[in-house]
Amino acid sequence: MPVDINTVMNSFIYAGILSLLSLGITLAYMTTGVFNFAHPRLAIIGSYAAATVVAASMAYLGMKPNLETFETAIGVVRQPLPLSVYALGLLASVAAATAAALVEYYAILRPLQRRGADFLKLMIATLAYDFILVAGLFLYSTLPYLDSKASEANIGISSTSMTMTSYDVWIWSGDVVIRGMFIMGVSATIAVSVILFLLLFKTKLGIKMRASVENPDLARVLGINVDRVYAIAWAISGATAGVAGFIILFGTHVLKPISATSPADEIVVSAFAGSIVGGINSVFGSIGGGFLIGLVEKLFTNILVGVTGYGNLLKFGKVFSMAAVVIVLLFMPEGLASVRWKRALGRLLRLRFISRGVRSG
Amino acid sequence: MVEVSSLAQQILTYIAIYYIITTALNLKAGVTGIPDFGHAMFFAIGGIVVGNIVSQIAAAIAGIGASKVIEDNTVTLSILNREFFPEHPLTSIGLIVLAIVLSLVMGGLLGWLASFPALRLRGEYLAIMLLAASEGLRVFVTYTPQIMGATPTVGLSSPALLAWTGNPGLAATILTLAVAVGVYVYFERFYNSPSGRLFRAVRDDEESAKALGKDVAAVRRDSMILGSALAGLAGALYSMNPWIGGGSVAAQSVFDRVLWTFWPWALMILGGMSSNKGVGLAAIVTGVLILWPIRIYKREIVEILRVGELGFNPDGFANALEYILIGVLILAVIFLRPQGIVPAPPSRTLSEEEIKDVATQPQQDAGEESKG
Amino acid sequence: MSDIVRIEGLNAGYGKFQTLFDVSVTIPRGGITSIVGPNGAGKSTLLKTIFGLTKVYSGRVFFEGREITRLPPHERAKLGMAYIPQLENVFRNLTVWENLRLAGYDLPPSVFSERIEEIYSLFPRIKERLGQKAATLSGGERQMLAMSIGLMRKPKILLFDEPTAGLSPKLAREVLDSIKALNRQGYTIILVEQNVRAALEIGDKGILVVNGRIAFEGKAGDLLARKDLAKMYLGLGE
Repeated sequence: MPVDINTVMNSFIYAGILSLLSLGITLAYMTTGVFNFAHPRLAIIGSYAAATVVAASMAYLGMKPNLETFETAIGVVRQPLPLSVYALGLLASVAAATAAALVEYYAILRPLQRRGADFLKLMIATLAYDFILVAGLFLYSTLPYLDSKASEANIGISSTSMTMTSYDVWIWSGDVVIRGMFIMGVSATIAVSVILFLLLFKTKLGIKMRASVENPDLARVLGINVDRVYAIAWAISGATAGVAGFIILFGTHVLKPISATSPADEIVVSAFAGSIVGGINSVFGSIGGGFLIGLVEKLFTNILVGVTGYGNLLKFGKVFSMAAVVIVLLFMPEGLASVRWKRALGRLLRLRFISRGVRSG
Repeated sequence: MVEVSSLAQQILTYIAIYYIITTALNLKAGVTGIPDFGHAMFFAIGGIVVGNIVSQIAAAIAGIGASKVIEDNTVTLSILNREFFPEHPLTSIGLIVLAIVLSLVMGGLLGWLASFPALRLRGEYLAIMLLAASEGLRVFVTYTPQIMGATPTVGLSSPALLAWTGNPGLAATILTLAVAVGVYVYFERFYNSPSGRLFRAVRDDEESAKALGKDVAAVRRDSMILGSALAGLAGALYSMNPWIGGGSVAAQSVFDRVLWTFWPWALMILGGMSSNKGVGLAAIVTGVLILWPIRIYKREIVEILRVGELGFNPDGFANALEYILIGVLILAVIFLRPQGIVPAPPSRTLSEEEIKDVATQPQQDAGEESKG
Repeated sequence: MSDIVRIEGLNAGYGKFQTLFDVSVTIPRGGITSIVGPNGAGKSTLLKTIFGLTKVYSGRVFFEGREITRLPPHERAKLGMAYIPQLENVFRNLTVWENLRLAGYDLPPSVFSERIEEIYSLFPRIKERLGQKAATLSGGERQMLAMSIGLMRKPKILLFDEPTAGLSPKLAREVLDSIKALNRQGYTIILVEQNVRAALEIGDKGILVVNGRIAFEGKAGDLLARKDLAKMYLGLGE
């Protein structure tokens, strides 16, 4: 096997994060026609909120890292924090990211759209909001309060990055350690897809949402409060970013914004890439696109290293994922979702059939 | 006093560099409507030209051997900067000219390459593709020692091409300002020339430009080449400048998409798309009204706002304040003056709205007539 | 009071462009009112103004005696108005059933199923197409779906904006027949039509709009009989 299980898990955690972020970008774009450049920052806001709440509750509980383990049916589990603390952290992350998304929608984008701002102006407005958020996060991260709480709780906050990977849940299944965030990254992506599918196709709200996306004027004529429907879409976009932020905190690490131009937003481009590769008007395309970009960036690169034995390639992960974006867009200018998969598959099958026929004949 | 004059040079250089890079973007995005969100990569090319190619040529001329620039960058460059450049003004000037020409050529070349997808893809997809190309290139360059040296975070020391003047900081400021003024004059003329009007016509109404037999694809390609060449030039000037380049060329700073893609976008929107005067004014306004006072009075600001008591340090707070104020300024402009500080003068070809105006005119007139 | 809609001294248009000038008309309850006129004369604007989709500079609009000049469209929908746009009048990416569900999203379930049954009896073909995406419907079927959407809340008045545009003569006939049928069931109808003769033939009242002003208001048959107007503005020669 060219890659070890840990690499696979890390790749899936990353892919799950990207999937959630791409989805949020697509949802916001579909409803309001805005490329939300501040979107990945919403996730980071979530990470900070979760870190703050977890650190504070650990300090409140007077907890030291609890590395006790217990047996379960699936194996030995190491759960360093009480479940309620994780839940609180997730809740804080989702709430903060959702709030930031709604502020963006109500305070900036909706008023601008009412004034007839075009696509580019809206995009720049989200950039401006991102500047403000970054600066705000930066100021927040320099607050001694957070650092003291963090060091009190020993959550591994340093001057450049913050992480709670050491508080991730571990499950020993035989010799293999399965990480909680791996399970969460994959299951959150699946769960969000299923929930969204049900919401969009099986509920009245979903019908309203799809109608408002397709033809807002007609929806208004029918008495639907389109603005509120959009706001709900933005709230979902923010909430999924919050889930991503939680996974980022416990599964990878958050680079502190040292200044507004720090590499803390490395993930921005990959998330946009996932959204666009999937096809910007396809909710489920974006989930697949995010996963694809994530896996190319991490798993593919690692497999390549394993196969070629050239370790330096590891650093070039983003080159491969970005190349994937360029290639996908060159051949499918409207993303993966624009391809008629059934027809393409049919053609492919027929092709094999023909080649087989030729060979046998 | 020293601090103020060095700050003045910093701000002037900021204004000049941002005027050039934003003008470059304006040509692509504002004038011909290509949403280039990968602008930083063209800027970076200029940095690579200065930090890598020009240094290698200098080392070859100095007899150290070109390959030493990559193999032993810090030592080689410190020798060059201490012993070679100050003593060889003519060679230095030649290298500066070479850097300018090469950065234009290579920026233009990359722009030409990027023009192929630019002719193929639709708005949003093109924007993200260029962003992806820029990021992919950044990572590739960062970890390719032959381009950016062995230590990615440090990058390459920049050659002190202006050391012979005795005051390289001032000289760099003057050089950058001079180029910016030249660019300004050129574009004032260009926008009013027939080809400048053709460029605008493409953005205003692609169909009618096509109908008039104009080669829209060629115009797009040309704007991509010219704009990217200009961005390369800005990158070269930046990397030669000891005030803001920081004495080194590192991939993470020259490829920085916030500084060299997003910020120029913001300035362009601020000034007014396809407005030459507006872009210049936006650079001046942000430099003089925001960066200057914040950088001079950061301690006082922190004191007045009493944020020190909360535990913020002045430098960090001032840095964050710059971004917050710029963000607020951009939002204010988009809200209150969406056409920018200085809207572009109407081009002579009719815009879509003007055509609509004309088209609805007779109807209203007819209405008036039947009244009488 | 037999007028369901009354308009007084109306000046309206889009943004800066005024298209209606000093318009005063009444729409009788229970009938079909056909608004006709040359292209770009403002007949669609008049219809849209009744539903609140334009900018009113001055003048007043009444619905059942109540002033509604400044009321937003979705409020008018609640009062009992239904507007059926000319184009994009169904949600193409939604199934037929979803379109109907959406139109009656705030109706109580019992009322909703009652309305659905009424629509099935009016347009049996709709029932056969429930699971299909609206984009796959034929032009005539789409018009019927659009009408069904409009009917879902049992409006008092239906505003049709060129319902036959782009349809073959046969289909256009069918659509106009169903409008006539709706009227017989008691719906008041305002109809903006390009097909002048057909519109005036099924209409009770005729309104001729020329250059944003009312050039004729009266019985539809009388308008048809006015050879001068018919020739000059309606392209109805002998």
